[in-house]
Amino acid sequence: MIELARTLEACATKLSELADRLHDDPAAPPWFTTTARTYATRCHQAATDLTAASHEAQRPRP
Amino acid sequence: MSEADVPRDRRRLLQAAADLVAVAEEIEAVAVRATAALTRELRPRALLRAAPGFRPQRRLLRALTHRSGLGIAFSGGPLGRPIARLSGMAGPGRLAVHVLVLSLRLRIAAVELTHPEVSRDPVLQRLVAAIAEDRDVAAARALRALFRDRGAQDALSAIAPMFGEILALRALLDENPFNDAVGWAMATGRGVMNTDPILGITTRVMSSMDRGAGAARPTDPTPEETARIRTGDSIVAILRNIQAIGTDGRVLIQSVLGPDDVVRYVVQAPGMRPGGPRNDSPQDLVGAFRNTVLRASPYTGALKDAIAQFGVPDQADIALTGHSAGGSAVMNLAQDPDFCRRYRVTHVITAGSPIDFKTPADPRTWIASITNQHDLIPVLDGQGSGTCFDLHPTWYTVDYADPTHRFPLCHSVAQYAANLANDLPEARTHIDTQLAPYRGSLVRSQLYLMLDHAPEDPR
Repeated sequence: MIELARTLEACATKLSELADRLHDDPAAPPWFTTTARTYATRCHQAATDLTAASHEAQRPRP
Repeated sequence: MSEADVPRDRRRLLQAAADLVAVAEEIEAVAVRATAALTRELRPRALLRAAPGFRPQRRLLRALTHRSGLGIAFSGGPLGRPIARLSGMAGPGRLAVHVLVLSLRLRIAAVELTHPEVSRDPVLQRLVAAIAEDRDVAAARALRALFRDRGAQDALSAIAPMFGEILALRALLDENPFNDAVGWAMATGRGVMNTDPILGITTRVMSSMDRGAGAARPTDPTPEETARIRTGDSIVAILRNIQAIGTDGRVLIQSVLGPDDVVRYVVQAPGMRPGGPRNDSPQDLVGAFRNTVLRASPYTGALKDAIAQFGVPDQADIALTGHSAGGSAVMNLAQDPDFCRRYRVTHVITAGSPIDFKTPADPRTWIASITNQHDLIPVLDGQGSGTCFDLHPTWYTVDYADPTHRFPLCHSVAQYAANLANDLPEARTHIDTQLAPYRGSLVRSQLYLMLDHAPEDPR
């Protein structure tokens, strides 16, 4: 699960980098940067959920 | 933005669109693995020894359903497949699909750079926005307005440069779960469009109507055709020969004595025969579908029969050329390892053909694909001028827009020949240079009538 969370963090980074890359690009449509950043945030959120799931699964069970 | 910047700007946007595809695929792979993990955690034995409050299961469930995370992202396996089918790929808010949609919207923006008429067209803009925002009623209205105001021909011509992207968006975002996989395949460039992206009906159903092993029978040209047919030693001559023989179920084979005194062979295959979906010729509509989707067809069988009857010797050099479905059929021959062991397929040249997902058996085969960006037929395999994938970096691809913007006129072999003769001198010269070994004196020219079944073959 931690591995999946890392993959999603990497996806978030790639999306943020893409948003940065096209931010001042006159050819890029105006909606692109905001949408890409929103999706990057969602990747972060999902990574957080998966990390939490992994920690819960590793807790010693009674 | 100057006109000189356009190709660079377009490449930049398409590169970003390709990067988004990679991200979407990674997110989807995570969804598949997380669904598998949750499935394991929900087995009775796992539940019995579950932590108090089923905290890991609840956390995983949250990861796979949270709207501000992956969305409803169940995917694959006995749990993921039925839920994904019930919820539809897009709904609600499935992140992987939305990243893919963002990629498709960026591809449409890239198309607009080279087709400014798209951004100047308010109805088209409404259509693209409505589809991308998953507003079905607004999309249907915009499409109706487009067809009503412009007529079918102009409407299709207007959509053509981004037809593949619009189809993929629609397939991914509509409520029909049966076309989701094809929408994903089209948007990720991972496979041929083997399902109708609107209704989700597999094209194999239609292909299955295309029966027969394919056969050929020599036939004579009319005097008018004899006067028009030339040596097929240049791309324009080949396309004009195909134009001359028409689409009544015939194919032309010529042998040419090259500059090195070697006899080589040129197969010239026309496209689909107009009329009903199925006739007694392999050049019918169902045959065109089959040639696009599958690797063999009655058309390819008939071509093989014609080539054998012409007496092309084993290991001889052969150039396969075709327009529209004829291009797909000759590309199928080039994909056939047995055919390529028997003959040396030196060139495949197609005009207006959907061949993106075909690969020659002999890596030495030189391939040229010529497509007009307003021609819908090459997009039938799901990849059009807005594609962000370089599926065949070694192919010579001529993807151009002529000023007429009219479909189906721009799909006609006459228009392709005229464009190459008058508007595309660089492409014409490059292809003709590649065909140099085939430039020489005509030895023999023979037409064959192609049939679904050999005359004695019982149906």
